[in-house]
Amino acid sequence: MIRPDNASDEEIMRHVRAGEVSLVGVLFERHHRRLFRYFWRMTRQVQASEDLVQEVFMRVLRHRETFRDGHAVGAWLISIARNAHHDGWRRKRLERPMEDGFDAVAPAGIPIERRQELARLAAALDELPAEQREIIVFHRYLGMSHAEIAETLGCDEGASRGRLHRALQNLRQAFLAATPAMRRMV
Amino acid sequence: MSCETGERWLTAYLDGSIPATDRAGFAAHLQACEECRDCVALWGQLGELPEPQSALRIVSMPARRSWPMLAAAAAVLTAVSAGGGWWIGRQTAAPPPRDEVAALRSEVAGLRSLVAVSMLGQDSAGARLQGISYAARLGTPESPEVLEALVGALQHDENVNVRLAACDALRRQTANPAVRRVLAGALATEDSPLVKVSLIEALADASARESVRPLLNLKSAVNEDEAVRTEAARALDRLKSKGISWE
Repeated sequence: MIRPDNASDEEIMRHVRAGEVSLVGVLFERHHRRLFRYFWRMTRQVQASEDLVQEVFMRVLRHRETFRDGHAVGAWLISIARNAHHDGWRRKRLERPMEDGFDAVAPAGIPIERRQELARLAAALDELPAEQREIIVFHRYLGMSHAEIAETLGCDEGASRGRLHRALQNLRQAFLAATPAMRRMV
Repeated sequence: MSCETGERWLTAYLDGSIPATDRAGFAAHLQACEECRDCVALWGQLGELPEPQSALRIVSMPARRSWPMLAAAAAVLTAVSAGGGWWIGRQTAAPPPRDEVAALRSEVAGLRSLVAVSMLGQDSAGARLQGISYAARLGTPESPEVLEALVGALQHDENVNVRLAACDALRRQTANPAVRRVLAGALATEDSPLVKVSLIEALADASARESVRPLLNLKSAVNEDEAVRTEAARALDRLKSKGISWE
Protein backbone atom coordinates (compact mmCIF):
# COMPACT_ATOMS: atom_id res chain seq x y z
CA MET A 1 0.00 0.00 0.00
CA ILE A 2 1.57 3.30 -0.94
CA ARG A 3 1.22 6.58 0.90
CA PRO A 4 -0.10 8.89 -1.82
CA ASP A 5 1.12 12.07 -0.11
CA ASN A 6 4.74 10.96 -0.40
CA ALA A 7 4.51 9.08 -3.68
CA SER A 8 5.67 10.49 -6.98
CA ASP A 9 3.23 10.89 -9.87
CA GLU A 10 4.90 8.03 -11.67
CA GLU A 11 4.64 5.75 -8.65
CA ILE A 12 0.96 6.55 -8.30
CA MET A 13 0.36 5.98 -11.99
CA ARG A 14 2.00 2.57 -11.80
CA HIS A 15 -0.47 1.62 -9.06
CA VAL A 16 -3.38 2.99 -11.09
CA ARG A 17 -2.20 0.90 -14.03
CA ALA A 18 -2.14 -2.14 -11.74
CA GLY A 19 -5.79 -1.61 -10.85
CA GLU A 20 -5.87 0.82 -7.91
CA VAL A 21 -8.01 3.21 -9.91
CA SER A 22 -9.11 5.33 -6.96
CA LEU A 23 -5.54 6.71 -6.82
CA VAL A 24 -6.35 8.68 -9.96
CA GLY A 25 -7.95 11.09 -7.52
CA VAL A 26 -4.47 11.98 -6.23
CA LEU A 27 -3.31 12.77 -9.76
CA PHE A 28 -6.49 14.80 -10.28
CA GLU A 29 -5.74 16.90 -7.20
CA ARG A 30 -2.19 17.53 -8.39
CA HIS A 31 -2.84 18.26 -12.04
CA HIS A 32 -6.42 19.38 -12.70
CA ARG A 33 -5.73 23.10 -12.22
CA ARG A 34 -2.88 23.00 -14.71
CA LEU A 35 -4.98 21.12 -17.24
CA PHE A 36 -7.89 23.53 -16.73
CA ARG A 37 -5.52 26.43 -17.35
CA TYR A 38 -4.35 24.84 -20.59
CA PHE A 39 -7.89 24.22 -21.82
CA TRP A 40 -9.18 27.60 -20.74
CA ARG A 41 -6.31 29.45 -22.40
CA MET A 42 -6.97 27.45 -25.58
CA THR A 43 -10.78 27.66 -25.61
CA ARG A 44 -11.76 30.55 -23.30
CA GLN A 45 -14.81 28.52 -22.37
CA VAL A 46 -14.99 27.62 -18.68
CA GLN A 47 -17.53 24.83 -18.94
CA ALA A 48 -15.95 23.28 -22.02
CA SER A 49 -12.59 23.40 -20.22
CA GLU A 50 -13.99 21.61 -17.18
CA ASP A 51 -15.55 18.99 -19.42
CA LEU A 52 -12.20 18.49 -21.14
CA VAL A 53 -10.39 18.11 -17.81
CA GLN A 54 -12.84 15.36 -16.91
CA GLU A 55 -12.32 13.84 -20.32
CA VAL A 56 -8.55 13.70 -19.68
CA PHE A 57 -8.96 11.73 -16.46
CA MET A 58 -11.54 9.49 -18.08
CA ARG A 59 -8.96 8.69 -20.77
CA VAL A 60 -6.33 8.10 -18.08
CA LEU A 61 -8.56 5.44 -16.56
CA ARG A 62 -9.53 3.99 -19.89
CA HIS A 63 -6.00 3.86 -21.26
CA ARG A 64 -4.08 3.41 -18.01
CA GLU A 65 -2.33 0.35 -19.36
CA THR A 66 -0.62 2.43 -22.04
CA PHE A 67 1.35 4.40 -19.45
CA ARG A 68 5.02 3.50 -19.78
CA ASP A 69 7.55 3.47 -16.95
CA GLY A 70 10.04 6.29 -17.17
CA HIS A 71 7.56 8.72 -18.72
CA ALA A 72 6.69 11.86 -16.82
CA VAL A 73 3.02 11.80 -15.83
CA GLY A 74 2.68 15.57 -16.31
CA ALA A 75 3.88 15.32 -19.91
CA TRP A 76 1.67 12.29 -20.52
CA LEU A 77 -1.36 14.20 -19.22
CA ILE A 78 -0.56 17.12 -21.50
CA SER A 79 -0.38 14.77 -24.48
CA ILE A 80 -3.79 13.36 -23.54
CA ALA A 81 -5.10 16.91 -23.09
CA ARG A 82 -3.89 17.92 -26.55
CA ASN A 83 -5.67 14.96 -28.08
CA ALA A 84 -8.86 15.70 -26.15
CA HIS A 85 -8.72 19.33 -27.28
CA HIS A 86 -8.08 18.28 -30.86
CA ASP A 87 -10.98 15.81 -30.75
CA GLY A 88 -13.20 18.54 -29.33
CA TRP A 89 -12.50 20.65 -32.41
CA ARG A 90 -12.87 17.73 -34.77
CA ARG A 91 -16.30 16.98 -33.36
CA LYS A 92 -17.15 20.67 -33.73
CA ARG A 93 -17.91 21.06 -30.04
CA LEU A 94 -15.50 23.93 -29.55
CA GLU A 95 -16.41 26.02 -32.54
CA ARG A 96 -18.31 28.52 -30.48
CA PRO A 97 -16.64 31.88 -29.96
CA MET A 98 -14.29 32.28 -27.03
CA GLU A 99 -17.14 33.35 -24.83
CA ASP A 100 -15.46 33.87 -21.46
CA GLY A 101 -13.46 36.86 -22.63
CA PHE A 102 -11.27 39.23 -20.69
CA ASP A 103 -14.14 41.19 -19.17
CA ALA A 104 -15.78 38.02 -17.88
CA VAL A 105 -12.79 37.12 -15.72
CA ALA A 106 -10.94 40.39 -15.05
CA PRO A 107 -11.15 41.51 -11.42
CA ALA A 108 -12.74 44.84 -10.60
CA GLY A 109 -10.52 47.76 -9.73
CA ILE A 110 -8.17 47.70 -12.71
CA PRO A 111 -7.89 51.29 -14.04
CA ILE A 112 -9.90 51.64 -17.22
CA GLU A 113 -6.97 52.38 -19.51
CA ARG A 114 -4.95 49.46 -18.18
CA ARG A 115 -8.02 47.26 -18.47
CA GLN A 116 -8.41 48.19 -22.13
CA GLU A 117 -4.77 47.43 -22.86
CA LEU A 118 -4.91 44.02 -21.20
CA ALA A 119 -8.16 43.28 -23.03
CA ARG A 120 -6.39 44.06 -26.32
CA LEU A 121 -3.52 41.76 -25.38
CA ALA A 122 -5.99 38.98 -24.49
CA ALA A 123 -7.74 39.52 -27.83
CA ALA A 124 -4.39 39.43 -29.66
CA LEU A 125 -3.56 36.11 -27.96
CA ASP A 126 -6.95 34.73 -29.03
CA GLU A 127 -6.27 35.77 -32.61
CA LEU A 128 -3.12 33.67 -32.92
CA PRO A 129 -3.32 30.36 -34.77
CA ALA A 130 -3.95 27.57 -32.22
CA GLU A 131 -0.45 26.08 -32.51
CA GLN A 132 1.17 29.48 -31.79
CA ARG A 133 -1.18 30.21 -28.91
CA GLU A 134 -0.45 26.75 -27.56
CA ILE A 135 3.30 27.22 -27.42
CA ILE A 136 2.85 30.47 -25.51
CA VAL A 137 0.44 28.70 -23.15
CA PHE A 138 2.92 25.86 -22.64
CA HIS A 139 5.84 28.13 -21.83
CA ARG A 140 4.21 31.14 -20.19
CA TYR A 141 1.25 29.62 -18.36
CA LEU A 142 2.23 26.01 -17.75
CA GLY A 143 5.92 26.71 -17.15
CA MET A 144 7.08 24.01 -19.54
CA SER A 145 10.72 24.16 -20.59
CA HIS A 146 11.65 24.06 -24.27
CA ALA A 147 12.93 20.52 -23.75
CA GLU A 148 9.49 19.50 -22.42
CA ILE A 149 7.70 21.35 -25.21
CA ALA A 150 9.96 19.73 -27.79
CA GLU A 151 9.13 16.29 -26.41
CA THR A 152 5.42 17.07 -26.41
CA LEU A 153 5.42 18.47 -29.94
CA GLY A 154 7.84 15.92 -31.33
CA CYS A 155 10.42 18.45 -32.45
CA ASP A 156 13.84 19.54 -31.21
CA GLU A 157 14.47 22.30 -28.71
CA GLY A 158 15.65 24.73 -31.37
CA ALA A 159 12.41 24.30 -33.28
CA SER A 160 10.47 24.95 -30.07
CA ARG A 161 12.38 28.20 -29.55
CA GLY A 162 11.84 29.20 -33.16
CA ARG A 163 8.11 28.58 -32.91
CA LEU A 164 7.85 30.60 -29.71
CA HIS A 165 9.74 33.46 -31.29
CA ARG A 166 7.40 33.52 -34.30
CA ALA A 167 4.38 33.32 -32.00
CA LEU A 168 5.65 36.32 -30.05
CA GLN A 169 6.23 38.31 -33.21
CA ASN A 170 2.71 37.58 -34.39
CA LEU A 171 1.33 38.43 -30.97
CA ARG A 172 3.11 41.76 -31.15
CA GLN A 173 1.72 42.43 -34.61
CA ALA A 174 -1.83 41.60 -33.54
CA PHE A 175 -1.50 43.71 -30.41
CA LEU A 176 -0.07 46.71 -32.24
CA ALA A 177 -2.76 46.49 -34.91
CA ALA A 178 -5.40 46.84 -32.19
CA THR A 179 -3.63 49.57 -30.25
CA PRO A 180 -4.08 53.28 -31.00
CA ALA A 181 -0.67 54.77 -31.79
CA MET A 182 -0.78 57.33 -28.96
CA ARG A 183 -1.71 54.80 -26.26
CA ARG A 184 0.72 51.97 -26.70
CA MET A 185 1.80 50.46 -23.45
CA VAL A 186 4.97 48.83 -24.71
CA MET B 1 10.88 41.88 -40.67
CA SER B 2 12.38 39.52 -38.14
CA CYS B 3 15.23 40.58 -35.89
CA GLU B 4 18.07 38.06 -36.28
CA THR B 5 19.54 38.79 -32.87
CA GLY B 6 16.10 38.34 -31.35
CA GLU B 7 15.65 35.04 -33.14
CA ARG B 8 18.91 33.87 -31.66
CA TRP B 9 18.63 35.12 -28.09
CA LEU B 10 15.15 36.34 -27.22
CA THR B 11 13.69 33.03 -26.00
CA ALA B 12 16.89 32.26 -24.06
CA TYR B 13 16.61 35.70 -22.48
CA LEU B 14 12.99 35.05 -21.53
CA ASP B 15 13.66 31.71 -19.81
CA GLY B 16 16.94 32.82 -18.25
CA SER B 17 19.11 30.40 -20.18
CA ILE B 18 21.04 33.04 -22.10
CA PRO B 19 24.80 32.57 -21.45
CA ALA B 20 26.30 35.07 -19.05
CA THR B 21 28.72 36.15 -21.74
CA ASP B 22 25.86 37.21 -24.03
CA ARG B 23 23.62 38.79 -21.42
CA ALA B 24 25.10 42.27 -21.53
CA GLY B 25 25.20 42.22 -25.32
CA PHE B 26 21.51 41.32 -25.57
CA ALA B 27 20.59 43.96 -22.96
CA ALA B 28 22.29 46.53 -25.15
CA HIS B 29 20.44 45.16 -28.18
CA LEU B 30 17.12 45.63 -26.37
CA GLN B 31 17.86 49.32 -25.99
CA ALA B 32 18.13 49.64 -29.74
CA CYS B 33 15.57 47.10 -31.05
CA GLU B 34 11.92 48.08 -30.66
CA GLU B 35 10.67 44.69 -31.84
CA CYS B 36 12.58 42.71 -29.20
CA ARG B 37 11.74 45.30 -26.55
CA ASP B 38 8.05 44.98 -27.36
CA CYS B 39 8.23 41.18 -27.21
CA VAL B 40 9.90 41.24 -23.79
CA ALA B 41 7.29 43.71 -22.51
CA LEU B 42 4.40 41.65 -23.91
CA TRP B 43 5.86 38.52 -22.30
CA GLY B 44 5.64 40.27 -18.96
CA GLN B 45 2.11 41.53 -19.61
CA LEU B 46 0.90 38.03 -20.48
CA GLY B 47 1.39 37.16 -16.82
CA GLU B 48 -1.14 39.83 -15.88
CA LEU B 49 -3.99 38.39 -17.90
CA PRO B 50 -6.58 37.09 -15.43
CA GLU B 51 -8.02 33.61 -15.57
CA PRO B 52 -10.94 31.88 -13.86
CA GLN B 53 -10.65 29.09 -11.31
CA SER B 54 -11.95 25.64 -12.11
CA ALA B 55 -14.97 24.62 -10.04
CA LEU B 56 -14.10 20.93 -10.40
CA ARG B 57 -13.76 19.13 -7.09
CA ILE B 58 -13.46 15.58 -5.93
CA VAL B 59 -16.53 14.42 -4.07
CA SER B 60 -16.24 11.40 -1.78
CA MET B 61 -18.76 8.60 -2.03
CA PRO B 62 -19.78 6.16 0.70
CA ALA B 63 -19.15 2.46 0.20
CA ARG B 64 -21.59 0.47 -1.91
CA ARG B 65 -21.80 -3.24 -2.68
CA SER B 66 -21.35 -3.22 -6.42
CA TRP B 67 -18.60 -0.63 -6.73
CA PRO B 68 -15.63 -2.99 -6.73
CA MET B 69 -17.13 -4.57 -9.79
CA LEU B 70 -17.76 -1.19 -11.37
CA ALA B 71 -14.15 -0.35 -10.73
CA ALA B 72 -13.21 -3.22 -12.97
CA ALA B 73 -15.11 -1.53 -15.77
CA ALA B 74 -13.56 1.82 -14.86
CA ALA B 75 -14.57 3.57 -18.04
CA VAL B 76 -15.93 6.74 -16.54
CA LEU B 77 -14.68 9.44 -14.33
CA THR B 78 -15.62 7.64 -11.19
CA ALA B 79 -12.99 5.82 -9.22
CA VAL B 80 -14.19 3.42 -6.62
CA SER B 81 -13.04 0.76 -4.23
CA ALA B 82 -14.51 -1.46 -1.55
CA GLY B 83 -14.24 1.29 1.04
CA GLY B 84 -15.90 4.00 -1.03
CA GLY B 85 -14.57 6.23 -3.74
CA TRP B 86 -14.94 9.56 -5.38
CA TRP B 87 -16.24 11.30 -8.40
CA ILE B 88 -15.44 14.61 -9.94
CA GLY B 89 -18.10 17.25 -10.02
CA ARG B 90 -18.54 20.99 -10.06
CA GLN B 91 -18.64 22.85 -6.80
CA THR B 92 -21.97 24.58 -6.37
CA ALA B 93 -23.50 26.80 -3.74
CA ALA B 94 -24.79 25.19 -0.53
CA PRO B 95 -28.48 24.22 -0.67
CA PRO B 96 -30.98 26.55 1.01
CA PRO B 97 -32.58 25.56 4.36
CA ARG B 98 -35.13 22.74 4.23
CA ASP B 99 -38.21 24.84 5.12
CA GLU B 100 -37.35 27.34 2.44
CA VAL B 101 -37.15 24.52 -0.08
CA ALA B 102 -40.56 23.25 1.01
CA ALA B 103 -42.12 26.66 0.60
CA LEU B 104 -40.67 27.18 -2.82
CA ARG B 105 -41.05 23.66 -4.15
CA SER B 106 -44.45 24.00 -5.76
CA GLU B 107 -43.64 27.39 -7.23
CA VAL B 108 -40.39 26.34 -8.84
CA ALA B 109 -41.33 22.84 -10.02
CA GLY B 110 -42.56 24.10 -13.36
CA LEU B 111 -39.53 26.30 -13.78
CA ARG B 112 -37.21 23.41 -12.95
CA SER B 113 -38.87 21.24 -15.57
CA LEU B 114 -38.18 23.91 -18.14
CA VAL B 115 -34.61 24.37 -16.97
CA ALA B 116 -33.94 20.64 -16.85
CA VAL B 117 -35.27 20.06 -20.35
CA SER B 118 -33.34 23.03 -21.62
CA MET B 119 -30.08 21.93 -19.96
CA LEU B 120 -30.42 18.38 -21.24
CA GLY B 121 -30.24 19.84 -24.73
CA GLN B 122 -26.95 21.65 -24.15
CA ASP B 123 -23.72 20.90 -26.03
CA SER B 124 -21.67 20.67 -22.86
CA ALA B 125 -21.74 17.32 -21.06
CA GLY B 126 -21.35 19.24 -17.80
CA ALA B 127 -24.52 21.22 -18.48
CA ARG B 128 -26.42 18.06 -19.41
CA LEU B 129 -25.33 16.41 -16.16
CA GLN B 130 -26.57 19.45 -14.30
CA GLY B 131 -29.86 19.17 -16.18
CA ILE B 132 -30.27 15.60 -15.00
CA SER B 133 -29.47 16.69 -11.48
CA TYR B 134 -32.28 19.27 -11.78
CA ALA B 135 -34.62 16.65 -13.17
CA ALA B 136 -33.77 14.23 -10.37
CA ARG B 137 -34.80 16.83 -7.82
CA LEU B 138 -38.22 17.32 -9.35
CA GLY B 139 -39.76 14.38 -7.51
CA THR B 140 -42.51 12.19 -8.92
CA PRO B 141 -44.37 12.19 -11.13
CA GLU B 142 -42.14 14.00 -13.53
CA SER B 143 -43.49 15.92 -16.47
CA PRO B 144 -43.66 14.06 -19.79
CA GLU B 145 -41.14 16.51 -21.23
CA VAL B 146 -38.60 15.77 -18.51
CA LEU B 147 -39.11 12.02 -18.82
CA GLU B 148 -38.70 12.26 -22.56
CA ALA B 149 -35.48 14.25 -22.16
CA LEU B 150 -34.11 11.74 -19.63
CA VAL B 151 -34.95 8.82 -21.92
CA GLY B 152 -33.27 10.64 -24.80
CA ALA B 153 -30.17 11.17 -22.67
CA LEU B 154 -30.05 7.51 -21.66
CA GLN B 155 -30.48 6.27 -25.21
CA HIS B 156 -28.47 8.75 -27.20
CA ASP B 157 -26.07 10.83 -25.12
CA GLU B 158 -22.47 10.27 -26.18
CA ASN B 159 -21.13 10.96 -22.69
CA VAL B 160 -21.13 7.91 -20.43
CA ASN B 161 -21.44 10.02 -17.27
CA VAL B 162 -24.61 11.62 -18.65
CA ARG B 163 -26.12 8.26 -19.55
CA LEU B 164 -25.25 6.93 -16.09
CA ALA B 165 -26.89 9.92 -14.42
CA ALA B 166 -29.97 9.55 -16.66
CA CYS B 167 -30.22 5.89 -15.63
CA ASP B 168 -30.04 6.84 -11.96
CA ALA B 169 -32.75 9.48 -12.44
CA LEU B 170 -35.00 7.06 -14.34
CA ARG B 171 -34.69 4.27 -11.78
CA ARG B 172 -36.86 6.40 -9.49
CA GLN B 173 -39.61 6.11 -12.08
CA THR B 174 -39.75 2.35 -12.52
CA ALA B 175 -43.33 2.25 -11.27
CA ASN B 176 -44.06 3.49 -14.80
CA PRO B 177 -44.12 0.46 -17.18
CA ALA B 178 -42.90 2.61 -20.08
CA VAL B 179 -39.78 3.52 -18.09
CA ARG B 180 -39.14 -0.15 -17.31
CA ARG B 181 -39.38 -0.97 -21.03
CA VAL B 182 -36.93 1.83 -21.84
CA LEU B 183 -34.41 0.58 -19.25
CA ALA B 184 -34.76 -3.00 -20.51
CA GLY B 185 -34.37 -1.87 -24.12
CA ALA B 186 -31.26 0.13 -23.26
CA LEU B 187 -29.54 -3.07 -22.08
CA ALA B 188 -29.32 -4.19 -25.70
CA THR B 189 -27.94 -0.95 -27.09
CA GLU B 190 -25.71 0.36 -24.29
CA ASP B 191 -21.93 0.06 -24.82
CA SER B 192 -20.58 0.94 -21.40
CA PRO B 193 -20.33 -1.91 -18.86
CA LEU B 194 -20.76 0.62 -16.08
CA VAL B 195 -24.11 1.87 -17.42
CA LYS B 196 -25.20 -1.71 -18.14
CA VAL B 197 -24.59 -2.71 -14.54
CA SER B 198 -26.56 0.28 -13.34
CA LEU B 199 -29.44 -0.62 -15.69
CA ILE B 200 -29.40 -4.22 -14.45
CA GLU B 201 -29.53 -3.11 -10.81
CA ALA B 202 -32.44 -0.75 -11.57
CA LEU B 203 -34.41 -3.45 -13.35
CA ALA B 204 -33.77 -6.06 -10.66
CA ASP B 205 -34.81 -3.59 -7.94
CA ALA B 206 -38.02 -2.94 -9.88
CA SER B 207 -38.68 -6.69 -10.35
CA ALA B 208 -39.13 -5.86 -14.01
CA ARG B 209 -40.45 -8.83 -15.98
CA GLU B 210 -39.51 -6.92 -19.15
CA SER B 211 -35.85 -7.38 -18.31
CA VAL B 212 -35.81 -11.20 -18.37
CA ARG B 213 -35.05 -11.63 -22.07
CA PRO B 214 -32.26 -9.03 -22.30
CA LEU B 215 -30.78 -10.32 -19.03
CA LEU B 216 -30.69 -13.88 -20.36
CA ASN B 217 -28.99 -12.58 -23.51
CA LEU B 218 -26.38 -10.70 -21.48
CA LYS B 219 -25.74 -13.65 -19.18
CA SER B 220 -24.90 -15.89 -22.12
CA ALA B 221 -23.11 -13.34 -24.32
CA VAL B 222 -19.56 -14.64 -24.82
CA ASN B 223 -18.06 -11.26 -25.63
CA GLU B 224 -19.78 -9.41 -22.82
CA ASP B 225 -17.83 -7.85 -19.96
CA GLU B 226 -17.50 -10.36 -17.14
CA ALA B 227 -18.83 -7.95 -14.53
CA VAL B 228 -21.95 -7.40 -16.65
CA ARG B 229 -22.55 -11.13 -17.09
CA THR B 230 -22.14 -11.73 -13.37
CA GLU B 231 -24.55 -8.93 -12.51
CA ALA B 232 -27.08 -10.21 -15.09
CA ALA B 233 -26.95 -13.70 -13.53
CA ARG B 234 -27.40 -12.22 -10.08
CA ALA B 235 -30.36 -10.13 -11.25
CA LEU B 236 -32.02 -13.20 -12.79
CA ASP B 237 -31.64 -15.02 -9.46
CA ARG B 238 -33.29 -12.09 -7.73
CA LEU B 239 -36.17 -12.06 -10.21
CA LYS B 240 -36.67 -15.79 -9.77
CA SER B 241 -36.73 -15.41 -5.99
CA LYS B 242 -39.49 -12.85 -6.42
CA GLY B 243 -41.61 -15.37 -8.30
CA ILE B 244 -40.87 -14.28 -11.85
CA SER B 245 -40.40 -17.35 -14.03
CA TRP B 246 -39.40 -17.76 -17.67
CA GLU B 247 -38.50 -21.40 -18.36
